[in-house]
Amino acid sequence: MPESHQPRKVSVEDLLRLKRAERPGPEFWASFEHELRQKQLTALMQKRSWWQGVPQIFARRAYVPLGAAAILTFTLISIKYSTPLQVAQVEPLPRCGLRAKRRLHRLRRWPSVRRCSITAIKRHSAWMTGLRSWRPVCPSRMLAWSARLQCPMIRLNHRRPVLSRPTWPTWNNRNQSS
Amino acid sequence: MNLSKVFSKAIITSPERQQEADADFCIVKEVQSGNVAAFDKLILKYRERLFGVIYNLTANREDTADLTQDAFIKAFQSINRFQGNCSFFTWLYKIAVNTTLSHLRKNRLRSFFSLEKIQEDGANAEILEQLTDKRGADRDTYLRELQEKLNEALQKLSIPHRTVITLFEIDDLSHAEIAEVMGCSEGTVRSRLHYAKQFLQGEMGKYIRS
Repeated sequence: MPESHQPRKVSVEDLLRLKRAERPGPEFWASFEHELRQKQLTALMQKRSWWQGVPQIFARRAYVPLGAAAILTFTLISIKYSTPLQVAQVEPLPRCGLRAKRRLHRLRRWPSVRRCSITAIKRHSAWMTGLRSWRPVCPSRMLAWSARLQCPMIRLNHRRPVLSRPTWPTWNNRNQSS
Repeated sequence: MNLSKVFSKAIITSPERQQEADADFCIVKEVQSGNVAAFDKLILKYRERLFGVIYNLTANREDTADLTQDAFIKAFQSINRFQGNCSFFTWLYKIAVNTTLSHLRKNRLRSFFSLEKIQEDGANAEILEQLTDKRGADRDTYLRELQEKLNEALQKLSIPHRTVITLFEIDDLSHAEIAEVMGCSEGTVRSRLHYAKQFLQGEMGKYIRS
């Protein structure tokens, strides 16, 4: 059989090409043009409201300037209404002698103070003595006073006080040691 | 010339398309300067192509007529915003495709076919000859059935897949042009095209002679 008489393959592309031939006749275009002309005239007569143009303003190349303006406005407002940053100033601790240091380490053996750091005890004692002279204060007295006076150090260094109140034997020990 | 214009020139690959785009831009400039009647030239030039795209997406001639008119009206209303960053026909296609897609999304559940008759001319006659050996009334019935099956298969595709295959196979747009019209990458266009063809091959297997 000669090659020219063989049926050619029909592919999906061929079928889709047939769709190009689905066209309306010339009478359709006449009515189409008439309708389009009417719609065009209506569109020309219609006055567009101002708010219909707003999205177009945003759609144009206004993203960068608008974004920059928004950031600038936000920055200015936040500067105006924000309070200045307050840095907590901690006064330097007075230096202590060898004897005071020994006393401090002895104090740390007390069960009530065991969980406190040395710096916290130092600061607390300094606060209690009004920073005039640094001397370790008896922890039980320290806690009692701090509970009464609401020492800021206790609140800063510990979420909850280590001991809420002193016990009698603590007082006796203190009297013996002093 | 800014970067987007350079890029749009790169998309339009063939010199014929470039010439066409330049001619369109001249007409657009006329319309922008106040000569509203010049827009009729653009309507005459593109109405059939635009109708073809929308018709193949909706498979309904009444909806297609309305949507084509709407697309032209939208283009006319916003012609002052056209700055030549892409070719006019790509811009017009973008409007038409977006209008059609929003219509299809709104009326997802309401779909019925009203099809145009296949015009038998030189290019199609050969394919039709291959498809059917029948003559007379039988041939017409067979063609009608084929047309309906093809439309059914196309409507089974998702909207993006249908759009890609319509623009590529029926409207002869390049991958780059389709990517610009649809706002996706060329890779996405290729993969959608591949999937759509495979799907149609499966659906139309009865009619494809291999």
